[in-house]
Amino acid sequence: MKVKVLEIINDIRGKKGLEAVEDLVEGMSLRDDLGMDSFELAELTVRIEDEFGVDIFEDEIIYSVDELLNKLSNAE
Amino acid sequence: MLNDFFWVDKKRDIVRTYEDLLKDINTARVTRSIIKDENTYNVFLSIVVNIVHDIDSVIVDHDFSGSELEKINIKEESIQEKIVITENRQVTYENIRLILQNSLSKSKINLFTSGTTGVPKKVEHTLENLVRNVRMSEKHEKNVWGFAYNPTHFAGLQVFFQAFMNRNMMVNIFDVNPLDIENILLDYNVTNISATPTFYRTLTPSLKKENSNILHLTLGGEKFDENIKEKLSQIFYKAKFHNIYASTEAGSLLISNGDTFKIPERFKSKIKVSIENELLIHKSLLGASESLKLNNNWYHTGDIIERTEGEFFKIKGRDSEVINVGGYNVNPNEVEELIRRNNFVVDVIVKGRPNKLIGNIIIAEIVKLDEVEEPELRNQLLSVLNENLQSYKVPRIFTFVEKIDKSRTGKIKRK
Repeated sequence: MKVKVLEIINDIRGKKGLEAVEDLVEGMSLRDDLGMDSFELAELTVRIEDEFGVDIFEDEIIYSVDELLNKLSNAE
Repeated sequence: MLNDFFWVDKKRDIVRTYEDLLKDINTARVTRSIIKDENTYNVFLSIVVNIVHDIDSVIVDHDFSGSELEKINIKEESIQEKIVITENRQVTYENIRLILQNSLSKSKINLFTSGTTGVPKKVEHTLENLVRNVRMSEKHEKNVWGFAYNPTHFAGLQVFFQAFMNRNMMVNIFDVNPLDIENILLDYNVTNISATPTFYRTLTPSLKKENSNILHLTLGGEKFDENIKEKLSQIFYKAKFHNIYASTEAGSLLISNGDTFKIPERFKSKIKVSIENELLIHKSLLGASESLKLNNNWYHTGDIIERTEGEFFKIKGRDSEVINVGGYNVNPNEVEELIRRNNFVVDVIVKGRPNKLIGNIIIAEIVKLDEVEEPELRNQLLSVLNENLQSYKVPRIFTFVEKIDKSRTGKIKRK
């Protein structure tokens, strides 16, 4: 799961010419550490929903890697 | 005196007082009719210089590409065209307010709206339309504005005139890193912000400290969002909330304190609701445009309302092809047209998919020829789209399908 999420994040980063990140580390912020703006965050949620069937923004908007991975493992 | 600041933009290291602004107005020897500038201060300065010298303004987004400009009939060369100011009109703040008031029906400001048929439309507003909702009083004199809109859009101009007419300070928070905004708001004692729900949703995770300075928060440009209102009221616990309904075609029309609106007494004969529950605006409230389609002098906004109680109603959604992405309107036809130019594309539909953060995300469904691989075609399309469109118009998701669902009339179904 984490590998796929990383792949999606790197694909989104790649589209605006940012380097791929090697790993998702605890405490990372999607916006500040991974450089995602609101359009990219929105893209991330849609692609995760298509991949895992989980709407990570369903209850509230999330901004960190930890929250994202928690949400996905809870839904499994 | 802190109150005499006009514009503070920490990102660009620009601080201008009202005195500086007046000096810049009075020493301007050239101006441009077409205003396309990445620096918001220059946009405001040009607007005022043009009003003072009776020159009409055409305001375009600074990130418009060559082909986007071509569509609205603006040539790159004409943006550079300078108008030499020959008359020496020295202004003071007092007489500039008078000049503005005397130019209400004379001065024209042209804006662009996404349009419904693929071509953006030019809408010509008189200054009167733009300042229709400006309120001036002693109470308003103490306001400090967090400037959170694109200055080329109606809502941005609205904030500018409201602030300028009351000699308020504006602090740029529009294209600023959300992490820096909390301190900017506190450092400059910002009291008022008007922004889209998307702006607030992006900002709130970076806000850690309570802020008692903010007294008014306005949400506009998108559907009102109760959740974000709740979050904001925890941080800005003294703030009153306002909801505003505005459009490039008509300017700001309805203002309320929650998610329901009522047609104000003075607009009763000019705003009505059709039997299909669509909000209609009378010609007399609109800016002039050759391409706005009117039906017996009424403009169909495409916004569908839902009655709540008595005269009150909510904006339920849109019956229009235009897709709202974080407060920006995207016309799917414009995007489809560019995608269709690729020879590997057989058919395409561009739609909005609902999204909690930005309202809608743009997606494209494509039928392609077999001889091209999906990733290759996606990259080809992205490179053309990024070059020719403002970034919010570019589809975030491409799906490749066998067939696109069309209704019986042969019209593409977007929903």
